[in-house]
Amino acid sequence: MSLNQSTPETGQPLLKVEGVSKYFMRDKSRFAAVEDVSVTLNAGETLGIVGESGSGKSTLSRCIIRLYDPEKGRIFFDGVDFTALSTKALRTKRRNIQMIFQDPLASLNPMMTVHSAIEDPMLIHNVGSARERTKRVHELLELVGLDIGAANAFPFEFSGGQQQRIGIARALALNPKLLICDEAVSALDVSIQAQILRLLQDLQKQLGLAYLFISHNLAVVEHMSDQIAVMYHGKVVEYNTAEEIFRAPKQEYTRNLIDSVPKIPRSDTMRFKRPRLNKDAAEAK
Amino acid sequence: MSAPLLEVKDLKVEFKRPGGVVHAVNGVNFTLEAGQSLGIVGESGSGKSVTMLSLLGLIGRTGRVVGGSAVFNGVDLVKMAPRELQDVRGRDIAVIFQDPMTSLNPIMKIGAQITESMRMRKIYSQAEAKERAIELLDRVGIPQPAKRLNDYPYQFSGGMRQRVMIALALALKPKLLIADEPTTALDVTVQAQVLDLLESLQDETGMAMIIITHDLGVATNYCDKLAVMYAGEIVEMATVDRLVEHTSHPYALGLLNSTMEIGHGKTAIQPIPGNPPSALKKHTACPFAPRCSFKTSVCQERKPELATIEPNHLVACFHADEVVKAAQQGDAAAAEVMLNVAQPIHA
Repeated sequence: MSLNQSTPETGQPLLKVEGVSKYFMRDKSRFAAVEDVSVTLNAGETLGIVGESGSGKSTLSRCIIRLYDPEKGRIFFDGVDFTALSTKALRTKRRNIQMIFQDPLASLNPMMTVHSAIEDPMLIHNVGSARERTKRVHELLELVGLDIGAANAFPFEFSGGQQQRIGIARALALNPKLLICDEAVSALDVSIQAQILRLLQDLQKQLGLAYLFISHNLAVVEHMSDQIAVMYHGKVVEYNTAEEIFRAPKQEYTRNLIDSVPKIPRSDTMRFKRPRLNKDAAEAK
Repeated sequence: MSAPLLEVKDLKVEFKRPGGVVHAVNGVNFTLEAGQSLGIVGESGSGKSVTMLSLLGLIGRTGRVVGGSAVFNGVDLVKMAPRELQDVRGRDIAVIFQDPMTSLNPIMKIGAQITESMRMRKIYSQAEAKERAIELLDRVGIPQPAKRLNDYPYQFSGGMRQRVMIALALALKPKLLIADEPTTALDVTVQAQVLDLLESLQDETGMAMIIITHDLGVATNYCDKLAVMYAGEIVEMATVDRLVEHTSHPYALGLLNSTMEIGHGKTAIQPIPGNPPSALKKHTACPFAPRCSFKTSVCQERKPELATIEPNHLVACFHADEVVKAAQQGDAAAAEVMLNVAQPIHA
């Protein structure tokens, strides 16, 4: 069935952004929302993009899926130059990149049941028979931790955390290789945030998904990322492995971001020794 | 010892809804001394905002305080007539909210909004009020304050708008400032700036502060005392260091573990499984039991009372001793208890 696609080897480049710039007009002059950004994301891994409001992180993600056409630079996804694709070719290729947003209720159609919202992408891309699609919807609901009974309800009937789960189920409907999470947990309570982040961690392991994880909160980004790019005024000011960024931040700005995350004051530095996700100990549920 | 600034006793708040009665606050007790800062922590729907807003008569027509008292400065706020309460609001107790864009009037210049309370109460002349507004804007860190009095809220960024809200709240030198999720809508960098500002203003004016938040990272850094709320009740209340070092309620422990901190690397996050209970029913058993990894049969039969386990440390849990141990051991074995017994977040 066309739902099952091959996923590239984990650790191989899946997304390559090369010298991308995007300009907007403001007060009759051109300013760079994104300027000369180059980053790489490997299959099955997470690239964290961190920066304050207005740093260009969302504009970058919109360039990657070509909701915006960048003025300069090239974007390679799965070996294909996205910037050179025709609109029609783009439409079929883009199914491998999906996105989840900050406000799940605003990104779900209020008139559509959860079932139709999740089935929608499959209809658009002509995937499977009606029966196969229904089966897939149920599979997806289970995958994101919702009851199958949720299918017949409308988005407003759910809590914020559940709505984000619905958004994730819809994003996963076409078995994408890359999920862009644009401030996906910023509007949620800390406790719900933790649940959704854990779900995303589990899904990555289970499905070999790559994430472009955008957030203003470095602590959240650290828990999710292998690589991190710090953006400031449209430019990447620091780009390194997550470990290096936190061990020895090179930019004053990065240090500032790290310092602004509140630390719980306690005498011992760690409550639990948490198992590393990348190692086998990650099996702990 | 002098009487506390605010003493809330057995406060109960209900809302009438088509589906039945929502028991939003079910018997809350706490005291706040002058100049102290209290953090009320819990997730959406735990009753943390309703607790505070009900004291000020700000819970709409469907909400009602059905029991208890809240003595502020010697007077019971619950028994006050709406007119008297209006006098307390703004002058003695001021509030700032999560979204400064919706709490400021979008078509009114901020200068007029800041001076409104001063003009209404005729404490200051027009000119004095303007002077004071400039002084306040300057104090909260707004550049060129005299010029910006004539700007509208949309001309400010989110962080700057929250600073305007703070200036407005401080206009009449309140004795108590209630900050309801003051920085939840802001970036972390701006959040730190706004909270630092609140802290230094508190030092300067000696006002008491109640910070309502879902984020223990914020609460532990800016409060003296914390009250953790769950299902309309306080389940643990202690000084910050006591709560962090001797966490005794499983929910408080779960919240601590859900708080994202720097220095963990790409590690498995340990969320609290499940969802909070419906507020439509009254609880006869421990309301947290369905989500708790420490629960035994007693938790499903009776409801634990909020009891003092140490001076300045109250907790409502039958298994507080075990929770403290698990929290303090900090070894793999304790982590196992939390990890394995808790049901997975998605089956």
